[in-house]
Amino acid sequence: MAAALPARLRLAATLLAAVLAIALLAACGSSSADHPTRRVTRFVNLGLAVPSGWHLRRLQYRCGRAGLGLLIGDLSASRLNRIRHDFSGLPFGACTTSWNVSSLPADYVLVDITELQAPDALPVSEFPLSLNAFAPSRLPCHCSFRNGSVVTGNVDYDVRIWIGKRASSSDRQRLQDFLASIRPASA
Amino acid sequence: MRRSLVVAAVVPAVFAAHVAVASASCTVGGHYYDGWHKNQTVADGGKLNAKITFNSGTYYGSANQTYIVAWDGVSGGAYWLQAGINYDPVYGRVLYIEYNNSSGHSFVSEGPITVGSPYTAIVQKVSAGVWDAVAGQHAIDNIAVTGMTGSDFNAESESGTTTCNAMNFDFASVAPWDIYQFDYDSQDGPYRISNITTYGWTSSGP
Repeated sequence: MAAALPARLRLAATLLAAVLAIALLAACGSSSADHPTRRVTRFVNLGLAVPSGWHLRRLQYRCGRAGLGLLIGDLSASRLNRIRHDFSGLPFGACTTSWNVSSLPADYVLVDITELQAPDALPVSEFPLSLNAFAPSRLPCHCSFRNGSVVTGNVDYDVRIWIGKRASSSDRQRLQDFLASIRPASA
Repeated sequence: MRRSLVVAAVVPAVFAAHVAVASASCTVGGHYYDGWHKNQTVADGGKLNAKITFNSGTYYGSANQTYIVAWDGVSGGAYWLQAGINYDPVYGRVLYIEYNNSSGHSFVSEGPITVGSPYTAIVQKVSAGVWDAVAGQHAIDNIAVTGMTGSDFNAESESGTTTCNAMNFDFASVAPWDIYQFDYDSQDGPYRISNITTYGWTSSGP
């Protein structure tokens, strides 16, 4: 009996430690969701903060006026890398920045930023950016879609934003935060 | 429908021979001559039509977003459509059709050109937001580009690096010529327009 008590105490202590550990992890997870860790990165002459849980894919176009590209969203890295360009309606020999998003889940958020020198001078952008800076447009994507231009320091960007029909309010907020994080980067 | 993953692979090795050693200092940006008309309403069936000849051109600098190009086309700011002759490290000297719309940007090489030979470049409005384009003997029909409010005949050199490119294009049979005005950006001059006639001009530089 005397030997069994410490064993029970050890078991109780172990259980208590496990419960505390789980509680601590849960608390940390909640904290992380409320204050997501963002990774700051640079794209051409822009600085931007990648929301926690989002991934990015960098592209180098060799395609007329298109230069560097960035595809970013709340998708896994492998899912993001599997998205293919959409060559619908284009003849042999074409290159394009258009994306086929038909296979994506309904809860995705995706942003494409492509360096694209416009033939006409476009108005210089005002920062911070917001979703309203981009005009809604109709695409057959089962999503809400917006696009527009960002111009700073003699560099023009074509920006397209897809919001899946079932994207969460949290993801929509992260999208807003992401857009607001985009700033001209110092040289 | 033909599709392709095209491209970039063919490239640098083939055209490396055309890349010259930098000998001039240029700022980043576009450098061009252009005959233009802004705030214009084009009727269905209305078109721009030119014969464009590539006479010479030289690269300075890297492949990224570097090109020499002459085209006619329409634009509405972020959306645009053009057809003409493009010279860049990826495709070489080719006829091309290029546009940007809500789906994204697309570039179609329509095959190599011969230096000194004139080629047809046409953009034509089919209906509101729908255009056809022709480069040489090649056409793409029913391209969706909305909000076109201006049109250009344009010869430009885009460095995208710290060095500038050289170009010499001839525009001929430009129609409708009379509604256009000249504009140019000489930030990396000396570029110039010469041989202005009733039917076109030659752009050259630097």
